[in-house]
Amino acid sequence: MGRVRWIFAGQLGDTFDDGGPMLLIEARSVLRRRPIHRAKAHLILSAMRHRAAELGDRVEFHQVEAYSDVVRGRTDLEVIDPTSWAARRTVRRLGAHILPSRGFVTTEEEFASWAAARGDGRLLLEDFYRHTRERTGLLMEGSAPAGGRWNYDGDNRQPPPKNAVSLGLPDPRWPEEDDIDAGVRAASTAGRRTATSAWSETTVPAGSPRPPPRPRRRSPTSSRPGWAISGRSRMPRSAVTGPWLTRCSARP
Amino acid sequence: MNLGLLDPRHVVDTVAAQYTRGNAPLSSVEGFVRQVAGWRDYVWHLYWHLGEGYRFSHNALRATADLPREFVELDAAAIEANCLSHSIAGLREHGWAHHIQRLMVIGNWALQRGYDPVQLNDWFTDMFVDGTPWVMPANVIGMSQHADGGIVATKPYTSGGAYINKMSDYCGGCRFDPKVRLGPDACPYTGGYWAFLDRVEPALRGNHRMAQPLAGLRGLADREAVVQQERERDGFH
Repeated sequence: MGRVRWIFAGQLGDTFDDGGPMLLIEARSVLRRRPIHRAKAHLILSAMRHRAAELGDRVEFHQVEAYSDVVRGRTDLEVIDPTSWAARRTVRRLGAHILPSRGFVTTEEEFASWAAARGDGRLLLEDFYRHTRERTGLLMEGSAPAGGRWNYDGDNRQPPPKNAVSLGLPDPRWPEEDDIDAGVRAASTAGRRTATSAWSETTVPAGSPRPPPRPRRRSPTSSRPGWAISGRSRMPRSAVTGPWLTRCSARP
Repeated sequence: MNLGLLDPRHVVDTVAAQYTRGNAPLSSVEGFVRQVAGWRDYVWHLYWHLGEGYRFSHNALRATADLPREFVELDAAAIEANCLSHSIAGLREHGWAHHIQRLMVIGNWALQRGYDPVQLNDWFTDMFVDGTPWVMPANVIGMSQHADGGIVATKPYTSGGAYINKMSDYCGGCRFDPKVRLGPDACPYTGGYWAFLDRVEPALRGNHRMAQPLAGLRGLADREAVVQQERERDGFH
């Protein structure tokens, strides 16, 4: 019998999907473990429910109190190694089949061999970054960094234009809330009164009593094409990072 | 990206291609690629490499103050310093703040005021929409708070108000004066910078990257008065 892939909140994209049957669990206890910003809870729940809708009948989607309500005793599960120490303990205790992690430019195996080669030396970001550039060929011209330098940070510390009230950049893409978001929002509002909803009052910081502001356009996962970054939409004027990387502004 | 929706390799390849085609300047593209393929990957791998205990077993600067109510409740209105109030207000509204607001404003304040690094790490994890368990320890315990004694960064990331003034437009509308370290108008970051150095001097004396700031501290005529002022500062006022 084929294995069922149990995916987690950090594994909601196509990178983590190899076409087989999937399992996704929305466990209320996970959101109750710690205080959590309401916007963060909304983002996670919305993304999970959108992914469940997207996968349709390829996914078993459960909304339960605890993971164990679904996975206890199951021997048919596989996971892509999850993203926290606690989650890794859980999947190992369960005896799930474990695949190497994904979702980063450098694999854990590649990092380990780079770190081992450093011997007793410090694991410096700059060394790691150059090694990554060389290994991947990113922004490389042959064996040399593009433009002749590895680091252009010095060019990204320009002061904002004099007397400017904005940098004149186009708006970022804003997601638009849909019915799934409305469901999350309703649960979050109800959750402020009852612990049986998605999360309890104690998990919503007293400092963020209002729902997150309603964004204007499409919801994050409701549209696949929306997620394919075009690399063009904002680039001509804003230039990805922009020369004001290390600035911040009191203006909204 | 931390939800797994965007693949970072696809993202950096796409952006790098815009440089290759002449559509984007190298300085911008390189800075972006370094944040994603460099720093993001680096903190992920350090999360595993440094072990599960890294988050809670380091406190090199002996910072033991509990997180104040203003942080826990994201009560921006109770904070007078314009830069910090704005940053906390944005966090309250969106669960998000700019990288430099995190480091230079929020983290710098916490470092100077000696907030418990574990409490601060968990607060960053809980309050930021991108706050996964793996992303915060190297950033908060290491980079921002120097609680690990130099594993991630060679020196504490701190500055006085003058640097915040140079790098932002917060100070014009603030009731404090970034150039003043003593008196009713003293910027809490400017006074706080010297009070912080005074407190951590014994721990950082051997750090040659701190030699110059610590020499500045020793030459400060009103050192004791500034330290006293910051010790008595009433929270966020």
